[in-house]
Amino acid sequence: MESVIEREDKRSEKENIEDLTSKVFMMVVGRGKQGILQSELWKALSLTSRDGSRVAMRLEKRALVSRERVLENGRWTYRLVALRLPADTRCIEGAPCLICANEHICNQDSNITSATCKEIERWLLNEYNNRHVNNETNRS
Amino acid sequence: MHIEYEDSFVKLASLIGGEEYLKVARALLNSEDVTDEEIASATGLRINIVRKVLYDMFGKALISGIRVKDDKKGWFVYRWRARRDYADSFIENQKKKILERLKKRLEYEESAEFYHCGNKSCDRLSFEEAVEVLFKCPNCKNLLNKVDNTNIKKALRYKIDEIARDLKK
Repeated sequence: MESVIEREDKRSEKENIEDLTSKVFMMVVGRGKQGILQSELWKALSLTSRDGSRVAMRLEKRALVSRERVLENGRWTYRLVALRLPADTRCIEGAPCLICANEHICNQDSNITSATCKEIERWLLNEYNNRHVNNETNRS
Repeated sequence: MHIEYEDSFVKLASLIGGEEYLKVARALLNSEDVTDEEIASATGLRINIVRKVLYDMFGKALISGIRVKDDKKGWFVYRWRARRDYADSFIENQKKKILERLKKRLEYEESAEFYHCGNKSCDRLSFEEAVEVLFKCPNCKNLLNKVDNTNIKKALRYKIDEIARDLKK
């Protein structure tokens, strides 16, 4: 029977693969429509071709990338191309409306309204201080 | 938690529920038509947590479920599938909704003067409300002073501009 330690090891291995998958996808997305060669990717991330292929296949299975077989310098390899670019969520990250239990009744005519919402105020001020003010400091 | 380059569906799940939602969303993308037990075993999350996450996502129409008979056990189980195509429009809608709320808030901030007693647990009052209570906080009875809301107005304009620019992309 599988011990607790073995199970924990498997779990952390899975988490590592997920992080790696995310990193690889990031690089593929960064190359836009022209994509990136698998061999180039593995070199950049110091991966073995076995680990790299596993990650690439995982991305293909999730329909995030396509793998096109190409001949490069006399050797067959794959080019990974992002199938669609993920939506940019940065501008609403941390917005309280996304997790607010009263979101469905929030409007101008009810007691629950954005006009008096303290959560919105907290989010905005935090964001403003962290991003805008930091940008200004970096510029000067 | 790095989600910038995740699939839109995973990003959305992470935004609405954090780490647990992120794990469930990844598991849903890894295999189609998956049961709650399979997700629990793939993610290491407790089955009750997985069910809570799944029902919430189902309530938000982010996943769909089909009821099938389990041949081994003989009872009915649900198999869940991510509605990936819906994630992008969900995110887009959320941006629009939040933008509208922020615009309304800015209108409100610009339309009145506000008074506050300085106590964090007490609410801010508009000038009309403050006159009605003779500039004494109805909650803690401290004197109400005028509040400078310049910062919140600046923060609102900054965020409104950021979301509006994003929606134009």
